[in-house]
Formats: sequence, C-alpha cells, structure tokens
Amino acid sequence: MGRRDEDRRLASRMARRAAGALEEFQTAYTPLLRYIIAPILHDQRDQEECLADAIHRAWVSIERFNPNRGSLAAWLAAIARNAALNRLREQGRYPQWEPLDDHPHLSDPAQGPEEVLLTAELAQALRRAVDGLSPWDRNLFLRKYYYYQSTAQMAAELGLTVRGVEGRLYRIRKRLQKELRGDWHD
Amino acid sequence: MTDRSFDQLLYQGAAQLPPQTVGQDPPDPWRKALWRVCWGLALTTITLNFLDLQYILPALGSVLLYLGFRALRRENGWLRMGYGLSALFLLLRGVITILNATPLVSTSSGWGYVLGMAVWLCNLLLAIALWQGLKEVFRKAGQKPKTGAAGGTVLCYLFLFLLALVSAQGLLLWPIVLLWIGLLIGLFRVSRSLDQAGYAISPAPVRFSEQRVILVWLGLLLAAVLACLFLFRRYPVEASPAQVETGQEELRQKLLVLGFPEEVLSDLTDGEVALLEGAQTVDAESFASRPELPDEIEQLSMRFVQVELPQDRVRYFLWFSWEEAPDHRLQEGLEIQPNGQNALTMNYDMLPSGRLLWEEEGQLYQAPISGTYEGHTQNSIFFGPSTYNSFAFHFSLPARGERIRGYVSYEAYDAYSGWHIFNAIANYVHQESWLVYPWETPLQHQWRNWNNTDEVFPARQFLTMFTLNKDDMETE
Repeated sequence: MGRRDEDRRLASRMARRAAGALEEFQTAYTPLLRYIIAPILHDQRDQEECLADAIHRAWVSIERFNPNRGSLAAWLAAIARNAALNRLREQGRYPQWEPLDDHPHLSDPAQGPEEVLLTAELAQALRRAVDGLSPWDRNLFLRKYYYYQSTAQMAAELGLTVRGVEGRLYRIRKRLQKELRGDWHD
Repeated sequence: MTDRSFDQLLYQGAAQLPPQTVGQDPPDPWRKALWRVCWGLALTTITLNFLDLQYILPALGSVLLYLGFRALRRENGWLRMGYGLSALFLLLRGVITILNATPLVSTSSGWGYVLGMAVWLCNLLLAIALWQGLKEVFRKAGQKPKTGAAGGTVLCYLFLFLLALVSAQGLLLWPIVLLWIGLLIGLFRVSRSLDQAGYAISPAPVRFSEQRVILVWLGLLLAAVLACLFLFRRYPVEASPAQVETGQEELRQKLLVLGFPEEVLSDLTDGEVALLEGAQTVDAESFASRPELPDEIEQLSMRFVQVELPQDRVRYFLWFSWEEAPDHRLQEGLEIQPNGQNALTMNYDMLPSGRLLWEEEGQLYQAPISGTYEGHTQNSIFFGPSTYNSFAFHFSLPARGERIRGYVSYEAYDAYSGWHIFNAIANYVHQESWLVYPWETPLQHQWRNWNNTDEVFPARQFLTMFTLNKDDMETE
C-alpha cells in the first residue's frame, strides 16, 4: 500500500473513531510530533503537554485533512508546530510580531490595516524568493525559520559542521535580503 | 534594517508560506544517513565492468557507507558497530584500491582472493549491523519493527558470499544477477521503511563535513594510486658493462655455415655458444620490422632460431631488435608458446633466460632477462576454462641507450622420432603509458583479450613453423 493510501486509511479510521485508531495513530506518529515540538519547546514537561495537545487537535480535526493536498505527516507537522508556538505565546515567551496562526488574515489584532497589507505583500515576496532558492537552501531555510531547528540539529541531520550551516544560512539571508530589498521599508 | 529584525521578518514570513512551498514532507533526521548507507551498500556490491566503474563506484560507495553510519553511530550498539565496521571497510577498500596499483595483487592471486573475501565478509556484517540497528530504532520509537527488507538484504549478501567462496562460474552467475536485483530492491525498501519510526533517530554531530570527507578521501586515494603506478611503471634493469665475445671461433663458424643468423650469433656469449656443441641443423625464421608504420612496436624485428643437438636435444633462441629505440621505456612482455602439437618435451629443470643488450656512448651494456613457464586459463561462458602453457618474460628496456636488442633461449627434447613439423608462437607486447589501472603486466593485459592495436599495450605476434628431423624426411 502506498503512502497516500495508508494516509487515507488511517485518516478514515480516525474520522470514524474506529477501535484502535487512536492507538495506531499515536504509535505511528508520536515520533514525528515529538521531533517537530522538541526544537521549539525545550522543557520536557512542556513537550509532553504539547504532544498531548497536538494529538488531541489532530484527533478532533482529522476530517479537515485532505490527502489530495499533502501527506498526513506534513499536516500533522503543521499542527504540532502551531501547538508548540501557541504554548510559547501563552507563556509570554514568543515575539509579538508573529501572527497567531498561519492564516494571514488572522494576524495580531493590534496591527492596523496597513500592517496587514504589508505583511501580505511581504509574505508573497518571501514566497517568491524562497521558491527561487535551490532545494538544498530551501530545506535549510524551512528547517530554521519554519521548524525552528537549531544550527546544531541541522548540522547533525545534514552531515555538515555547525560552521558550515551558519555559513550557508548567512548566504541565504543575504540573498533573500537582496531580493526583498524593494518590498519593505525600514 | 538590522540582521535581527530581518531574521524576525523571516520567521514571520515563513509562517505564512503556503503548503506548496513548505513542502510535502517535514524534514527528517534519518533519511540522508540511511540513503548514504543504502547507496553505499549498493555501490560496493554491484559490479559494472565498464568505464572503470568497477573501481570508482566501490571507492565512492565505501565513503558513503562510512558517512551514513557516522551519523547514526550514537543511536544504538548495532549502529555503533556498523560505524566501526564501515571505517574498517573504508580502510580495506582504500588498501585494495592502492594495492591494485602495484604488482602485489596482480601477481599474486592469493592476495586478491583474501582481500575479496574480506570485502564480502564486511558487506555481510554491515548488512547485519544495519538490520539489527534498524530493529532497535523501531523498538525505541515504540513500533513493531518493519525490517523485512533489511533482513532480505542480509540473506542476499549471505548467498553472494557463499557463491564467492566457491568461485561460482558459468550458469551459476545468473542467480547472482537475480540476487543483486533483489538486493537493490531491498535496499530501496529499507530506506523507506523508517517513514515513521525514523523520527526517533538523533544523528550525531560531526567535525568534518561530508563534502570534505569525500574530497579528502578520494583525493588521497587518487594521489596514492598515481604514486604507485608511477613507482612501479618499470622493472629494475640490472645493467652491467659487457663485451662482444668472439671465443668458440670454430663452433661459431660451423653455426654460421649451418645457417645461424650472424647478428644473433654475435650477441651470444661464449658459454651459450658452447652449449651448441654438436649442432646438427639450424632453422631460422625472420620477422622484419615495419618502420614505415607509425606505431613504436613496428620498429621491432625478431629472429626465431632452432638448433638441433645430439641425443634429441633442441635449443631455441628468440632474438629481438629495435630498429629505432622506442620513446616509451615502461614494461615489455614477451611470450613464447613453444610447443605446438606437443612436438617437444619441455625441460622444466632449466628455466628460460637471456639478455638485453644496448649501447651507451660507445659502451656495450647488458642486463639479464629471466622467464617463467606459466599456465594460462582462458574462460568461455559456454565452454568454461581452457588452458595452455607458455614461457613469459617480463622486463623493461634501459632508460637510455641505442641499438637495443635482446634474446632469450630455452632447451627441450624432441618428443618424436622421424621428421615432423610444429608451430611456435612468439608474442611481444610493449607498454606505452604508465597510467593504467589496475596495474598489470603487458602480457596480462593482452591475455584477457588479445588486440595487436591496443592503444596502451600494442603487440606483435609471430607464428613460426619448425621442422625437426628433416634428414629423415629427405631419406624417406
């Protein structure tokens, strides 16, 4: 059975609340959820609580998963990431300029219409710039800025030295700065 | 905008990237390492005998194996063992790669067999380490191990190892091809089996990047191989001053009357001439040089001389001369298949020998040439192996010198009474480049697939017909 079929099967079981579906889901995807949460929340207890939260969120919103739009792993990774970031925000440890959700319309209500428009423009420009990166550089960019992985973790997983990763990230930032220069103002 | 502010914007912007940009799959901690291991196993196992891939791919594969296990070395005991084995395997492959640039492996099949078995054993143990290591990963992730594919690769390696032990040939090679295909499929499945449990893996940090390890290792290997090929490009020439010997005058005169070529006779020592006492007949065949042709080897001419002696003894001389001294002074190979139709009983107690002769600044020099009597096996995929015997001489021409010539001689016994004809073959192979990997003698190269116009080892072949007991023919 291919991965997509496997995703459909499990999602369907979870949606039907079939017996054993939750256990199957937890067994299969707990390592992934932990992997996504760990770089964002460093406290062990926070990680466990966030893991439980992410599992709950996935369980109750499984019907929103569309296997035609992506893999179950990617969908769960987004849930885990958001759950971890929300937990940080609740503890007052997260920067205020970060939107509360991935949806650009649900940005911080303290921002006025102009900030929302700028944010949308920046998001589009950044998307174009990130799409223009090589697959290797895009992978590094997402690991750092989307998944919040540390330089040490990226280095170990990609077979690079810490210095090597720092150098690559520096070059990626410089490239993005150059490409985005006309799209924002100080 | 400061760097920190820009960083904050990037965090903000990344959160708003659409799924198409974020990608189908989240990053993972295992895939790269496992792909390295699987590709490493594949490249060090499958043999592709063209474009020197049979040397390049295993060299690259052994590095990939090492890099893959390096990342996984802290995961559990089995993968740590795999790391140690992969380092040993890398060293072993390196040693083999370098030894292949020397005469050691080439001239001794024992070494080659031992090293080959060691490689197979390492591959098998690495597959076991991977299989058991992956099982531990699944247990750590709290999942039921899905290591059937990894176990399957162990079985494939085990069968390949056993087949290698018995040196399987002929039709048994087809199961090997099927095992290879099964192995590749198994390795591909192994790399996908960790889709979920693999997130429990924590790769170990490294001091040197993969790129640096690959470049340094392959660079060192290349340098070592080139150094060895250069060092072993020539045989030592044990030169000593010589003098033209003119003793045994009466016997020399008699031999000339019988038809012994004068230029050959003038190069023989008095002692060698003395061995021809009682000569009854002399038969000589000439093979002229073809200096009008562009290749160096065409400057070579040869004389094959047969001297019938009393008590059914027969002595042979193969004399060669370079019309113009060649530019390339690397290895030379001379092979004589002396005994067509088994007309002779070879004298194994007396190995063939001879001399190289040349002149430098008016002084004559000599160097010994010694030969061996060797059996050779030619393999046919349909008929299996067949053997023949020949004298083989491996030597180098002097680095300097003109009027280069030489000869070898051997003795045999006439196996039949009455006149008979038989053929003898002389093959001369001249090496024109030292950049040949793996190291081999000119004769070894041509034995695999004879080609007179080979670019690096051009050759000339001479087929001679000799008659023995000719007097009996005339009286019949």
